[in-house]
Amino acid sequence: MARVAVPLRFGATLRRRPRERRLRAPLGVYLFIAPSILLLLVFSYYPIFSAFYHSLYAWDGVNSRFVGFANFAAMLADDPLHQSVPHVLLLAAAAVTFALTLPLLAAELIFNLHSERWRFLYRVLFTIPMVVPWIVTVLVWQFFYDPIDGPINRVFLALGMENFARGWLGEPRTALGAIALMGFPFVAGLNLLIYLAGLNSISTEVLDATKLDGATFWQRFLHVDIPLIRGQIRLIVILTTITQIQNFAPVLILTKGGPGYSTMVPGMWMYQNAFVFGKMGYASAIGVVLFAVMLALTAVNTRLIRSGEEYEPRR
Amino acid sequence: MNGKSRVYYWLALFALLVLLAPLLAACGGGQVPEVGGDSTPSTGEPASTADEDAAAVTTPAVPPLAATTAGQLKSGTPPAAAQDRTTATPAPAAGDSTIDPNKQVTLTVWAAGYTPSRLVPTTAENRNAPKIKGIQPVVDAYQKLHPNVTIKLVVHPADDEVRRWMITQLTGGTAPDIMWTQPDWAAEDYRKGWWVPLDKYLQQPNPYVAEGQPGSERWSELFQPQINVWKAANNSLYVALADQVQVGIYYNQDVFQKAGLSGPPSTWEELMQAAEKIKAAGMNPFAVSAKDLDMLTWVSGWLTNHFYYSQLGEMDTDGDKLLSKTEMAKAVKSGKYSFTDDRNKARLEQLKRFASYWQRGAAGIDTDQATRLFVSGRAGMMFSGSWFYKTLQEDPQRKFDFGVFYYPSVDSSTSPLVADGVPPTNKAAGYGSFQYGVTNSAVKKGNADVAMDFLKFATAPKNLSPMIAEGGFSLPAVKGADPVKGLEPFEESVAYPQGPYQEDDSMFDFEFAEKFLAITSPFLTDGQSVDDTAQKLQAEMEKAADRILAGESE
Repeated sequence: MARVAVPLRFGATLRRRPRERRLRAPLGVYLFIAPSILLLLVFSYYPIFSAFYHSLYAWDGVNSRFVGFANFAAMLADDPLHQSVPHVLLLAAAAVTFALTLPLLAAELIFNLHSERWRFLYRVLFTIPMVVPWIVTVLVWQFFYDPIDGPINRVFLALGMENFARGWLGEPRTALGAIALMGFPFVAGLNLLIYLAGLNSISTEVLDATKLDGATFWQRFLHVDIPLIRGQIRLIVILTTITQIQNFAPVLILTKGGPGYSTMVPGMWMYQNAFVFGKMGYASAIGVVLFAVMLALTAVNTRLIRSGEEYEPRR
Repeated sequence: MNGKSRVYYWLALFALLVLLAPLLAACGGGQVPEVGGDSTPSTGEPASTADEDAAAVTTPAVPPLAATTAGQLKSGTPPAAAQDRTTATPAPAAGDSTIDPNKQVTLTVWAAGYTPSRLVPTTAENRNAPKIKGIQPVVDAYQKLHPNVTIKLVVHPADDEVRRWMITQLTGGTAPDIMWTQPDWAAEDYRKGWWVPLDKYLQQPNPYVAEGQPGSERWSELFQPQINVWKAANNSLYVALADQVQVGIYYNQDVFQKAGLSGPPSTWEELMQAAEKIKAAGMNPFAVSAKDLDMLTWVSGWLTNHFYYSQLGEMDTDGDKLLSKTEMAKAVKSGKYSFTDDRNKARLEQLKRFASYWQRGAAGIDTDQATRLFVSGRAGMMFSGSWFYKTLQEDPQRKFDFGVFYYPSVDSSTSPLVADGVPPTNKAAGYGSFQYGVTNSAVKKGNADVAMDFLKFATAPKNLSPMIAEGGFSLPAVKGADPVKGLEPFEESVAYPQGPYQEDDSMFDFEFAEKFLAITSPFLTDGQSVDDTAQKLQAEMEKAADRILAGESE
């Protein structure tokens, strides 16, 4: 007789148990996680709700006056904010492109090494840079881009190519590109490890089958590896997009949004409105819109790149 | 979960956030009490305080000052403790302090540049700076006079991000009782109730000033008149300014010699010609950071004072030869001051001419990088101030002789729109390290009067002079204080009257300041036209004028 899978509602079994028995086990667990939940509420959720609330107020940090949706309406006429949108899109597109190519390529190369020792060595080598604080990375790149002492310009000068030397962060035409390229070759770090984990989880039976079928490296890469690590790709796309939209620290350190507004991004503009202009209500409104955009992008990403297709052998 | 229900799920979550927001936000919407109003003591302490031996030394050797005899006070005879002190301790002048000797008070003070060096971690930026005792001897002397008062020094770097730290502390009501601030910051903050107005206290005698000297009758008379420049739009003053820095142009004598220059220029035209010669000799004329406002607006403000000197009478409605924010805002609204008129366009063109002599990529480097360029001998000139003199003198990386000259005057040889004979003015007139305000934290704790009393004590010339002399980076800005050895190149310009026009970043508010930088940058370093630049600046300036006038009417 064929078994019939009956979907069981979550908790259905528990509901049949006596009340005391239901509560006894989880109570201690709840107590242990209560401080974490409390801290999470105070330091993570409260600021979010506060931002929603204050987005409806003209608030300078002390005095507040209800203005309805005026802050959101003001965003429609905010020229620097409008200029910042294509910048963040460009930075996000560049970051996603880099995240989807170079670390994946590096992960494939490591994965295909025959020697386990070399695999381990490369994995460690590419992971070590993760322990360097990100601020150091930004400052190192600030030095690379230094128009006088920076190694990039020094190389150009040494090769007699003075025309190529630039004030990389000080010229409107190069500043945004310089920020986008910060971190080249983008191989080391978490993305590489995520890809490697995905590749390592592919069944050896599948890999052996591709060998037997005579698939080339690229055929296997495109038709086997990529589909089977789609979950990892989705995760990286989501994380990279969100990070790029909310993280304005490199811009703050390297250019402060300048020269002019050539590297201004919405997060930086939000920060300037809050802490330089004292327009915390308006900054909250920008924050709310950024939140909504990130939520929407995450939802879209989740829908577009499904990971549900687990490998199932044909029968 | 299918696609449709997932969309519903996200929408429901979003709606829930919107609905819950007012409920949760309302739970924490407490407001800082009004300055001067009823207050309750706060137990909140500032971010960090120095260790116990740093400042909290109490020596109950003498009774509180209020308990000393009237004869001692009037004759100026210092109390026993004062006679006891070593020469390194400043003289606590006798006085008639009104603070309650029976009330135990703990004051917290963030002294910024006068924080004792031993409390400040050594960084790349300050490693060559002179080691100082700073405000410590003044604190010790005050505690000897007032054993009921304990003063704790707060340690925090006075770096580029200090304003953010201050806003956080002031918003949360956890700022030190006395805190350093730029005077224009405090002037802009007045509507928030973060700072205590000095007005009432300035009309009181300063009991620590010798009888008959400026300030002994009214504290306000101790200060130089330029202190009034920093009044807020409500005409109140929030910061006691007792020293001031002065700016100047440092020059590398070796570079000047190589470029065939015999000495410092005396006019703007000569300055530009000198820059041209240095550039022609294959060197950087100026080491400039144009990522931040300072160096740019020092020059732009200097140009304003020359291009608009003859227009002053039309805008200076109270006739004090100083244009307040309100007067400027009204001048903008009436069209008397406009970025689209010929004078301002000509001023912008001169600014661009100056920018053509910056080193490559100046808009992308910060002050430290520009300083490194100059100190390592790869630029002819750098705009800096009195705070940099000793540091440069003692920097082991410097291999050249240097000199300092004041900003050269602009005349009709630069533009027919500039009148000849514009008198030189004092560019800094207030920015220093002894610029302290009393915060809302002191009000909450009931310490405001004691904090003001400490400021009166610290600004008395006898107490102030040793501290300023030891620091060596600023000049005294109170009457009767001693001049500072080593800063002679800056003394002449300090005596000039304050320039009537504020620099572009202080003329209105922070928002205009940042937008001035953002709008002029593509003009100075890229292809944006002068007309386009002027129109954008005019639009932003009109908005800034509206904000100033709206604030004044509140």
